[in-house]
Amino acid sequence: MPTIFIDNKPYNVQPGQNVLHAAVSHGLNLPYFCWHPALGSAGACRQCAVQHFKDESDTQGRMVMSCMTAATEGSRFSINHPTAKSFRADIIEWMMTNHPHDCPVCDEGGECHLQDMTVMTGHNKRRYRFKKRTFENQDLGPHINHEMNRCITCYRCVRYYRDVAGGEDLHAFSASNKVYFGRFEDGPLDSEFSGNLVEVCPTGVFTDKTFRAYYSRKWDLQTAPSICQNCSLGCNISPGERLGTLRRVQNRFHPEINGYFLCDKGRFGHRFVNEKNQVKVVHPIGPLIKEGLMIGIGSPRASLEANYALRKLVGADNFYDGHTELEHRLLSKIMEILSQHPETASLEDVRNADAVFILGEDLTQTAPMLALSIRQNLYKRAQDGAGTQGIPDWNDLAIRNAQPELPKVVYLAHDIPTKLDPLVTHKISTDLESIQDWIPALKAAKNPVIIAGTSLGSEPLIRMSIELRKMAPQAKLCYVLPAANSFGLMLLKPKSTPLLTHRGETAIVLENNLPLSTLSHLHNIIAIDFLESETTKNATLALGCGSFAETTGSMVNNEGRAQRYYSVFERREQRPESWRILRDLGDFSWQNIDELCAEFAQEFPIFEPFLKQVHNTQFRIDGQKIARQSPEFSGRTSMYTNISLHEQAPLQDPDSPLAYSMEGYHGDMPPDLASSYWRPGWNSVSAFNSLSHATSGVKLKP
Amino acid sequence: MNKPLTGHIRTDGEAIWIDDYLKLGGYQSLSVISKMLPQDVTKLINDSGLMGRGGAGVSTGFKMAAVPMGEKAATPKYLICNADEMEPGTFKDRWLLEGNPHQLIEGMLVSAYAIEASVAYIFVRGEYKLAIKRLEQAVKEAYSKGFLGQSLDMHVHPSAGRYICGEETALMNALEGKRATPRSKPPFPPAIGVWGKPTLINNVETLCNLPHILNHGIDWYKALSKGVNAGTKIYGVSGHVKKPGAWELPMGTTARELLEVHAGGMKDGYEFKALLPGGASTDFWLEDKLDTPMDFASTAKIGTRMGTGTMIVLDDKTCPIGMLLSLEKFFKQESCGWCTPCRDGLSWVAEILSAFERGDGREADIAQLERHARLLGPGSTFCALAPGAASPLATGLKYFKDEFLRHIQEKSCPYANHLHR
Repeated sequence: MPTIFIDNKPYNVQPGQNVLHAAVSHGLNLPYFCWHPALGSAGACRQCAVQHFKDESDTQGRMVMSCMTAATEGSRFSINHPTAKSFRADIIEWMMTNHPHDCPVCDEGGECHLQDMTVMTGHNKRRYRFKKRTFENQDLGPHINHEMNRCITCYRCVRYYRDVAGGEDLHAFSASNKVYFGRFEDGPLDSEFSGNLVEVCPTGVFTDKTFRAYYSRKWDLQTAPSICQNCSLGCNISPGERLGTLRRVQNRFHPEINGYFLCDKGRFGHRFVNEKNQVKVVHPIGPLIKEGLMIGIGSPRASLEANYALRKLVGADNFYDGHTELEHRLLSKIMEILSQHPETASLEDVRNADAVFILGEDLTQTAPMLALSIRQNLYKRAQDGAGTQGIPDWNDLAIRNAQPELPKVVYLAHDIPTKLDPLVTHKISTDLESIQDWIPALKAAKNPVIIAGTSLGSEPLIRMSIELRKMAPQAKLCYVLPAANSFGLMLLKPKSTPLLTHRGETAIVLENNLPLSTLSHLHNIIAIDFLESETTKNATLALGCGSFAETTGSMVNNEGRAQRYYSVFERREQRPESWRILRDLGDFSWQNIDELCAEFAQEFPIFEPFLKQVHNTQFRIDGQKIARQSPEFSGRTSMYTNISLHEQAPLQDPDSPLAYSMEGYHGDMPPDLASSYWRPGWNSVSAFNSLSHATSGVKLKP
Repeated sequence: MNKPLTGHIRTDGEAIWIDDYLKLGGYQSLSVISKMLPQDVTKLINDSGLMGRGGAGVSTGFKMAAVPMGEKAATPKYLICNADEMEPGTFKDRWLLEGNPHQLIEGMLVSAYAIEASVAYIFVRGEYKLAIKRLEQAVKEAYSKGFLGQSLDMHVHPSAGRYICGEETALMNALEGKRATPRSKPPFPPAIGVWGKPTLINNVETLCNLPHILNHGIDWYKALSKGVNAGTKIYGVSGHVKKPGAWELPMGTTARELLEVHAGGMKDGYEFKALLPGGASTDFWLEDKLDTPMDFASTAKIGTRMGTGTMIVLDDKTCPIGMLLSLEKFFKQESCGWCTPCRDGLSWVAEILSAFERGDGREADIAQLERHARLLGPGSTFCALAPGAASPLATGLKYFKDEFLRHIQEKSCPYANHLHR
């Protein structure tokens, strides 16, 4: 690990880092714009200037851009040197010549990288006395708001949108100080990953339009670590709530899963939490009087805890799969394979693989972040190629110039055009007749990944995945599953639904909208769900539960990684966890999630390592619970005066080490408990640079 | 023959086409190089002392030698002629392109042989319609005579029209169909150039020298000069002089000789005030520098640059601030918008100069301009465009301080007939 000196203090840095990355990783206050840990360096904004010294005796030094300078052993730099320091203030002054003074009405205000950097450089007096240039904004569709006047021309948006995400309909137009980032004409952005513009843009040009519709400042949002519910990948998210509604979802860094980005489904697909047609909460619920046979139908979108409680209530023999019959068959096959070959591929494995073989999944649709990971993979191959030409990993422009065509290492079996096709080196049909052509590449690859899944409902494709795996023992398997907790549900060994024909007197249907064909077999239904559905409408009794955003539970993603999501908020009219409803129906004694999990782990030892590792309700830092609200959270005493003039006591959370309060712990914490990036002087997402990048979650073996 | 590059160019405006060119001894240098190893051609060019004529004055042989050779070198290698002549006041390459296109093609064949390039591009300024037409015709003729198409393919690529495309790495991006923004260096084009391959980029005038060096040898070539650097140079003069134009003269001809002999002195009623020696991106010279030999080494010695060697003369009837405004507006407009100092700094400079010209200049503005002249200098920007723009600004502020103050005091431009409002 090389040591560099910054203002005469030694710092250990990661080999191959640039000076800027090294400095901000150590929490040093060095401002920057165009660099981003996932985009690399561009040298465009000139904001990260530092003084570079030849040796200890050199006091003059030479000004360099820290993002474009390698942090090599023994090299010496100064952030505080007057030349570099005043140059950085000059840069901000230039950027601010055209930036509107609209922070108070700007969506980015309070979590704006530009605000932070401006304060950091000390620029506070306007000397530019001429008119600002103005732009016309574009309608970029329902998700992204466009306000070009705020642009400081750092080029991050196009470097992300085009170079990383492969989008083609956003570009830089014109030149000089009139560079315009937008589309050729108004219209919704094409990319499935457009939402990341909101976090990539260092100021308020690209903001979240869905958030804007019911806006709150960052410091007024209550947040908790959560897991995306929209596909089986288990990306880490940070939802934000205020006044009982979920306002937005932001990315939560996970090194092995989503990294710095989310797909649009994950970022914008949470509005159902605020829907009006919620199933009514019934309270209190007495114990169920069991008469005759009772079956339970589990759910791949409900938590492990809820599925376990249902299984406990109806008994293992009467616990059925909430997947369709076909899905159940495919998933059983996948589980069988994974019990033999538990080495599944994470998204990071996909990003690092030297060849990717996809069997019948249109990833952009079925697991979008897998598609993005493949794009990132190809760039990594280009980085490797450029590395042999002496170009460091962070020198993005040079890498793209040296490797004008991304190497193609993707093999795809699919019968329709997919968005990944342009990156595919060899495409075959799903009859797999030409699969032989893949074998040499598969065998030659050092760390290939084989991707298959359930979306086409094809068992031969899944069987082929294991055939390929047998030919290449070094390969890792990756299955795209139907829902967020499909893996977890299968671990509870449910029976296939067709077996229930005419068996059930009473069926408890957990968080599931069953097909009418299944519903028609059931005559006495107790449905537990958050939103109304055909199932709840056909139920004898419909019991309302809370959504993922207001409950705490655990899920297992497609790689078998168990992760916990925490309740972000409690509504004034509390909506219970499904497992609490089932507890009451079954007259069980669990008072909190820990008590349930203790029993759960006994019955299913497979979950033991996870339940040991997960931060249980007793976990404290410095004797404190972790605050879900920021220290600046406003309106605590008045936000519910429309209901009661008395200030209400903070709600208690019996299921997590988190508090529904601004009081509690705010500092460094384990990554699976952190949901808001902040440190002094860094109010935007850029604060993630100095945070722990440790992994979380526990991989389970079926 | 003391005007090897332009001596044959016809005075009726027509180009020298292939038959005439061959009669004049054209393409003879190809038989010279056919008896040489590529490395020996490079060494000969290096020994000749030929310096790049695009403005920077880097040794051509040195650049050629930087291209990787041998079996391990990546292929195809590219040779690019930078014919994107957009420097204000500069019109020397146009003369060569329109008058003798085969001379350039021959020069490129020599260079391509030396670096073993198999594909060549002439990246030519889009507005040079006639040059483009003639280059295309000449390339066609060279193909039909078999000079091209054997070991070298050549394409004429008209620029879509930005000043920054004259910056060699922005040129490569433009050629690849990308935004014309400069690339980060290192890697340098000889190692990783266009489409990621080794690439050599030379100016038109530079390449036109090569056949003559090969044909006549380096002693002859060096003897052409009366200055420190070798060869001839196409100098030009524009402004309120009696006979503005361009002339091929011995390298090291003084600015005074250019101005007083070749350009015939100032127009009647106009007095000399200052000049920009080589396009817009060079320092102003006052009377005291007129006896400096115009070559790269002599101008560097007195702390300034010759640039393209095509001077713009400022007289006493033209507002120097108006001239600065015109220049800085050009640089501002042509900034690619990649790096902050150039993009936003030049805009600020242009705004201030406009304010002076409309009588709204303030004393604090002068300090602001001085700050910009310093900040836009070398080391703080991504490429050389802004430092080029800072050269006339810094020296203009130094030499014309009184004029700035007069604009403030009189609350208007004191030049009744100033050209640049």
